[in-house]
Amino acid sequence: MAADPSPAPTSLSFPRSTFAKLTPGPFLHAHLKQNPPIRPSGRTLTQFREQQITTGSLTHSHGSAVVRLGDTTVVCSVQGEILKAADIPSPPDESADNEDLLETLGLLVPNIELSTGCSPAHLPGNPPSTLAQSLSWKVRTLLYGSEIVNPEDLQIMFTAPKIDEEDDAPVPEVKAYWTLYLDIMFISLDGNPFDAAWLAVMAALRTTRLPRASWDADREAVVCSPALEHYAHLTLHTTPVTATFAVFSTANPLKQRSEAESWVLTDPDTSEEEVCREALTVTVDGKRVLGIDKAGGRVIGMEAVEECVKLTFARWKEVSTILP
Amino acid sequence: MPPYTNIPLSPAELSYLHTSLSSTPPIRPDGRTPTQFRPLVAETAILPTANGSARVCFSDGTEAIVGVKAEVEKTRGGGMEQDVNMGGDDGNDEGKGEVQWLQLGIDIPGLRDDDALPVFLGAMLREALLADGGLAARLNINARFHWRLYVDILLLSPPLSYPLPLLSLTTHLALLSTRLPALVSQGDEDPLFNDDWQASLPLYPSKASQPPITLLVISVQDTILFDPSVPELAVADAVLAISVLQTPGSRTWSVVAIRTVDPPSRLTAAGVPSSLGSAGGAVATATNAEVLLARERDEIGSVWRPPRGGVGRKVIARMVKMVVESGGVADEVMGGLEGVEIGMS
Amino acid sequence: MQADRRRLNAPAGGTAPPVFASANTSPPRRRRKADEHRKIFLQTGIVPSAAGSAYYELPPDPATPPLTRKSSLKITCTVHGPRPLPRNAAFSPNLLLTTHVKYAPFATKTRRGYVRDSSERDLGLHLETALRGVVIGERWPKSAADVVITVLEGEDDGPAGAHSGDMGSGWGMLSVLAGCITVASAAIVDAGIDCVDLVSGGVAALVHDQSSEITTVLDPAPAEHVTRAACLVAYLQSRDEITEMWMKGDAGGDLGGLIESAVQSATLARTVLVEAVKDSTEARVAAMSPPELPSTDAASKGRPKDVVTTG
Repeated sequence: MAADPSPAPTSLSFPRSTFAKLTPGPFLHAHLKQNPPIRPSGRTLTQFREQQITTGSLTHSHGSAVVRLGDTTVVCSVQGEILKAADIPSPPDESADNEDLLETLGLLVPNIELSTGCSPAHLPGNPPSTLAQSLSWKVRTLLYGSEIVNPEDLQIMFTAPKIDEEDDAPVPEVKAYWTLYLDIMFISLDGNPFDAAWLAVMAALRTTRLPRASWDADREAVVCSPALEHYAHLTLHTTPVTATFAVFSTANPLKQRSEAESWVLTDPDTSEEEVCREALTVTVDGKRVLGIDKAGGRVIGMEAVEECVKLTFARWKEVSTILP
Repeated sequence: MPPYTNIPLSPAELSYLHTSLSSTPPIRPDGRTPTQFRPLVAETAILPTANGSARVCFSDGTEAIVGVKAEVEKTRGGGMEQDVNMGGDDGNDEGKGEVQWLQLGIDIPGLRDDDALPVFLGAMLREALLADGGLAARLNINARFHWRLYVDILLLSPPLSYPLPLLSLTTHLALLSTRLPALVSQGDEDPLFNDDWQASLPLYPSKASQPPITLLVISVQDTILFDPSVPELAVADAVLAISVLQTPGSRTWSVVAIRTVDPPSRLTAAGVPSSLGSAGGAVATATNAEVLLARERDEIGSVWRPPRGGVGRKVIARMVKMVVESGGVADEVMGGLEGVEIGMS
Repeated sequence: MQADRRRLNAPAGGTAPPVFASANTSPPRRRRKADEHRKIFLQTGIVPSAAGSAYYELPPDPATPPLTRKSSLKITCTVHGPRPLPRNAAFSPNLLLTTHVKYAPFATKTRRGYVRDSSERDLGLHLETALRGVVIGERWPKSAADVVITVLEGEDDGPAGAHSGDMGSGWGMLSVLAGCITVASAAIVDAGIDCVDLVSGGVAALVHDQSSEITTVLDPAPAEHVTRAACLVAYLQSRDEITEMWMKGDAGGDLGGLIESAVQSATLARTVLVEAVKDSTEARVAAMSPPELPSTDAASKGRPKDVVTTG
């Protein structure tokens, strides 16, 4: 291009949507450069999206929740099915710890389904993508690791009646287990699937009501009572809350590292996630940190991580009051 | 996409076919009348190892074989899948069978099991067979055991035209020739059968109770045609599959299933009207809007256009009437099938 | 059943759904009139990232307590496209419409799997037949459009407690398909694909009522009665044409009457469809209007502002 000594080149002004589609990176950068920094959706750097939680809308599930986090909509359903102890191929030891029982038997089965047409990138007909598989696994790890569900809630006990007066009191034994299938389907995806999915799982688990099950010795089967009064909630020990942060950075291999600027964006949406190469997920419960998961990049250091943890604690206070 | 959309006909040919079929009287490419069926060759009981079998060849070269086998299966009654009644006895419905006892498999060369065509054909044939509930009742042995019927349909030739009537006729004949061994045991004990095949009983015992037949009907404007060939299907405005069953005891027919089939004509390319083609002296600088308007305004009959919308209600009523009326198409097909000898393998 | 290696599977040993001791509750009875349709809730634009989307629900009867409610249909539909075909695809002079129907695992009484089975593919084919007649495909050559339907809650196949046949081959599928047709029509219009008319789905059935007479009912809920024959139509009102018809069962001599009733049911569903499409169009027109000039007062602080860049 010929260098023109005349006045500065005229500025190009695009409508927002065109600019956002053509160059998402500089679009976001232009917003964050403002003072105070603002995001294209109008949120501040540390602002979470509005959430809406509706529970109990599905008829065939023992617990269900629909969570809307901005434009991300997800449905989680908890269905219980019976696993007979006699059917387990390698039963756990009698003396084994109860803590690992859930994980050894695999009694909590979460699955995240993204291929529902929730966004143009997730069309159906494909097996679960890497993202869906890794999300399912993260939810599973958090479910077992945080020990939310009480193993005794899921055990169906049976005490054989005393035959002779002189015999010792019969020992109650576990005849079957409840297995909880947590099916998480995304209706619409606009960034931050993990937070939305976990919120839905928490809301669904807290409103799950399992029927009262008892072992019928004659039929050698588990029979449940259909009476509504006999349905019982699960006792949940903990309330983990997650928060995801994305880091937008102008770092460039061609520039000096010191020249790079970076911002930490809370609860990113799709347009922000596409241009951020670094993400951080913090899970807390009350005053304990349950997990910090960082992926990609090398921008944020310990101070930024501490900030994020503080934000997550604040989020925990907010969410634990909203959860049903 | 249906396999038969590889229609090697140009818009001019399609327009020609459409016009000739919609004229009064309709002129079919092979000169048949609207309700005339093409000759076919049919034989039954060709597979000695199957309980029933049949083979039908149509005159256009398509051929199908159906084999029916039956196996004894334990009825899952009072098990985990059923609601347990804790007190008293159920209002037991005697003799009512489960719909899972019939398993239908369709094998079309070149297509997978989960492709569109086998799925659609399988669902349609299954629906028709289970429609009256009588078949499921006949498969019951006693309270603890039942017959499980496996109907395997093989299309031996590539699917040039829509194979539904061929497969349906072949299945009809195969089921008519199916025989089940005679029961020797009594009551609810483990079933024991007479191994003399001459003593076996047919699944459809009398002329009165017969399996259903499925017919393919097309409409081209006001004309209704039966047994369409490939070019006739390519210009059809609407295609309907009607399954009919003869009421036991009388010669009247009742419709047990109807499905519309997506006409392949919708996937064809439209012709270019002469006002737009450069040969007709059209201007090349016409805008998109003008071109669109010109095409939309083009009167029907000038060039071929894929049909839009659906089929009128009156047309459906006429189609059904032509099939079920006494002396109608179903009676004709039945008459033709009666000539086929139902053998015993 | 082979374990799906890409999903988390059931525990080794297999699970079975809970079996209930039968309660002495009477089965739900139809409380509407024979020609009354259930109230439909239809809303478009639920998935902003898709070209068009809609949500269809038959809200449950609030009078019945939870946990004993029967199914209330909930369907979401997203339309992606029309988008250009990949380079190596064969030339197609018309729009390539593909439909994909999937029941969620929690949609029916017995838990379904994640892989599509043949009844869901069959539903997809029916839907494709119904929509193909309505979409003007010749205006979109070399393009493809995907219609994706997720059934979050399906219809029961028969009265509770009775043998309801195998999954998905019962009468509930017809009502689900009628809902799918209506919601797909709303989503397609929301996506801006040219259509001949709005297509709505309607079902009518011949049922045995209490006195074991046979009556015709519109919009049957299969859980409420014993069905003898049922018919579904996808109806275009302005052209008085039927793009898709699916009829099952023995209608006796009254087939014409059954089809008429199904058309009537589709007409009732169409009124809701028209309302929803009107709302969706108004929302789109409002969104397309030019944005207001940026102001400095506090009210506009949270709103996104236009950003000027230098080229």
